[in-house]
Amino acid sequence: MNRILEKVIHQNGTIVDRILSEHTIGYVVSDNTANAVAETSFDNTSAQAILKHLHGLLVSTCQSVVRDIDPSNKLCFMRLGTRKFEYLVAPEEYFTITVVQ
Amino acid sequence: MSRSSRLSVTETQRKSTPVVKKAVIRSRSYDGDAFVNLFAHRGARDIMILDSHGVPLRSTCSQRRTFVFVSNLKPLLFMARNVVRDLDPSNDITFMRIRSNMGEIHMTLGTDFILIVVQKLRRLRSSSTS
Repeated sequence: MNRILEKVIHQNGTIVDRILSEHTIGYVVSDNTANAVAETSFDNTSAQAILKHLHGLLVSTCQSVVRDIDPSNKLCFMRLGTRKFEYLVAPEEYFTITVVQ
Repeated sequence: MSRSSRLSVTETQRKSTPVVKKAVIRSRSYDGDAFVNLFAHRGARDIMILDSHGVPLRSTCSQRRTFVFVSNLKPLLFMARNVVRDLDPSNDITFMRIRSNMGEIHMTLGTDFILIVVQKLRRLRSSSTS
């Protein structure tokens, strides 16, 4: 699974650099099947917290809510604006990407 | 976002309260509101105003549709607030935005009210498979 991630990052190198350069505190890429951190710029504690709360709890609930409102709809992106920073969560098929800015 | 929304909501509620004589007959109570017109111009499909406990106060769509949205989005919004509080106890949620294939849902969580705007998209977006 990490080979797919490395391939995707290699293909979108410029996009990754642009995302990481502007006002970004960090990012977490987690594997959906293994529920593990695939790549991150945080320390392990923060990455595990984001993985457990955001990816595990909030993303799945949000997907269920979107599916409940309209069964033909699907969650593409989610932004959480808080007072200190903003969480940008992109749930994809194999990975879930969170950027904190 | 939260501050301007609160002012607009206050204007909306104040405008609806007094009974103006010789007013143009409105098919719905919110017709003519600047707030609703501005959002409709920007592509908003439905606007719902809830109080801080999640009881819907005012809405631009039908009662059944409001109930469907509120019964789904209220627990999600409160769960999001709890998640943000778990990640950082000194932090607090101010805005939440859910982008799906067919539309967007914007939710703002203030101290006095909760504002939910359901926005439609110009064209459908297929989810990218990486």
